[in-house]
Amino acid sequence: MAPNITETIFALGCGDCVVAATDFCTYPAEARALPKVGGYFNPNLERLTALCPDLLILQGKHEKVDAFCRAKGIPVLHVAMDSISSIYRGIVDLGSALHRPERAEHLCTTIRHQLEAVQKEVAGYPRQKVFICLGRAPSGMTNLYTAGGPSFISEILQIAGGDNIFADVTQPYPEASKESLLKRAPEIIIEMRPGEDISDLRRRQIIAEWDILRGVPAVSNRRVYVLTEDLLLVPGPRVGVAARFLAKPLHPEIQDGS
Amino acid sequence: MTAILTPKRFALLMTAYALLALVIFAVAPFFGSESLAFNNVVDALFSHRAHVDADIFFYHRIPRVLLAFLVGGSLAVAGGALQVVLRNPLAEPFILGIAGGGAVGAVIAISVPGLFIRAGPFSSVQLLTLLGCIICIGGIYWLARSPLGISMTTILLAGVTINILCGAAILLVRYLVSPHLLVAMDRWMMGGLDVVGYRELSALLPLLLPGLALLFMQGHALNQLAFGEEMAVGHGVNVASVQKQVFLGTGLATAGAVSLAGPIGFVGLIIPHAVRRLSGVDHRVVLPASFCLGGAFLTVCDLVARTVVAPTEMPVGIITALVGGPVFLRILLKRGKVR
Repeated sequence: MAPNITETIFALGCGDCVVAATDFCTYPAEARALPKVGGYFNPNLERLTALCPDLLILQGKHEKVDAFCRAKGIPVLHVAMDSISSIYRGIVDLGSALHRPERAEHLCTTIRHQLEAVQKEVAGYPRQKVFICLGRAPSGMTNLYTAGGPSFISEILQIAGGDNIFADVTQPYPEASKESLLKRAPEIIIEMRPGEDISDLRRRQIIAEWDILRGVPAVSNRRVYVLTEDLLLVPGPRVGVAARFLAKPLHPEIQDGS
Repeated sequence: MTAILTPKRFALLMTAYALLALVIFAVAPFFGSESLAFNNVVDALFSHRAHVDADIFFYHRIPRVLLAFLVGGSLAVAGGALQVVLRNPLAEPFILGIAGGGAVGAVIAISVPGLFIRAGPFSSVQLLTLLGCIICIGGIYWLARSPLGISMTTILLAGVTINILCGAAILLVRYLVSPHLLVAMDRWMMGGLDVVGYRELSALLPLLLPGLALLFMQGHALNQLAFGEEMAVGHGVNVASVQKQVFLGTGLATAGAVSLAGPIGFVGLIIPHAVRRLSGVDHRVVLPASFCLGGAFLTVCDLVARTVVAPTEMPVGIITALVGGPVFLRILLKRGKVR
């Protein structure tokens, strides 16, 4: 019942036991073809009844689906994958529930290696001060939402050789003060627009919208990047890929070698 | 408490309110989420050298304080006038369906990421918000007009109904869009005074200034109207014309305020009542005093919103209610004891 869970199950080689996924499960490609049972806000309980799964896996807390499963006698497994350490834990839990503990162990090792590789690559380069923009009012510089210290994206950024300028904030997804943004002077701005299909023209427009904050080094040095890949916001088995992906705009010089 | 308004008393009261407003207006830009070194600011001002402190002070703080003051003042004046014209102490600018119409516009602008219109200084959200406001105001006016002027009951009922209709439209849009846009929508609903530079502010003035001017001219007529429409007619007040002017003035001022700051509640309801409690019910005082007090109040609330959780920000709508509610209850309580 979450994109990262679906992804993990497929990564564990159990894709053929998945009977349904949410509307938002788009990776891997096979997951798109599965029957859809709604999303977090609108779980389709009728279809769940009709499908009658042997196991239902939930990310986090969901009272409605929980109560439904208890009433129907469907066993429920809870996982909470929202940080790198909890991704490992989630994979191990899923592995034992699906009787694939060694595959889970192997997957964790692969992820660990991927993350270490990225860390090693960026180690020789100076760390960059980064502002992550997760959302803002359309075509304006108001209500800038960013990622605080406890967020998943801040954690990957750290591995990819960047320092989140709002890492000291204890809220995971706070609204940033523009004064602080100016003062903290990020060298790079990464704007996330997950799942959006953006033309080159639109991308240039989005980047040009930042020009109003001309005092920020990232803006004056033309280092504002727009990323649309949704894997950056899915705490799942592709975290290593996400870290490598994030390292690309941070350290453009690395990519030539690899 | 309501003494006869002599020119001396008027001057005294207005000086007091203006002084309060001025002090707050002058102090507010010196506080923010970051502490600035003001020698840098002054230095940059005189030597035209760019410095980040000066940039923050002149392009972020001062416009923001100005916007807070204008929006707070306008909403309070509009509320004060509407409460008399609609003969309802619960009236506030958003009762005219303005907030609902504006919100539908904003939600549509947010939910269509490809939608990218910019007219002058306005972004797509502001533009559609303004459009939503205008459609709603026009619709209500069209519903309420009658040969004898505007029916105030119809305005109230139509306003409430349109707000409900708009609420349903918003829920429909929210249901259809992808969830990551919901944050932006919720955030808009909470109101915010986040601006950069002066372009948007100057775009606001053609709406606010005529709106406020229309409302300020009604002070005397509103005093008569407060005694009832028949009394006002007897005293030679053209009631239908006053109603129309208040309606138009409120519409202009509120639409301008909502398009930039979102629906910031509470100011338009509470401030005029607070002013009446503090300095009497003469509307020649209430209207300008509401402007001063409303502006000062919203400026302080915004100051709290941008400092208390620094380096992050809080939606100002939360603060207006949290700070304003208890303060107003205290005023009510105190006055109750005097009687």
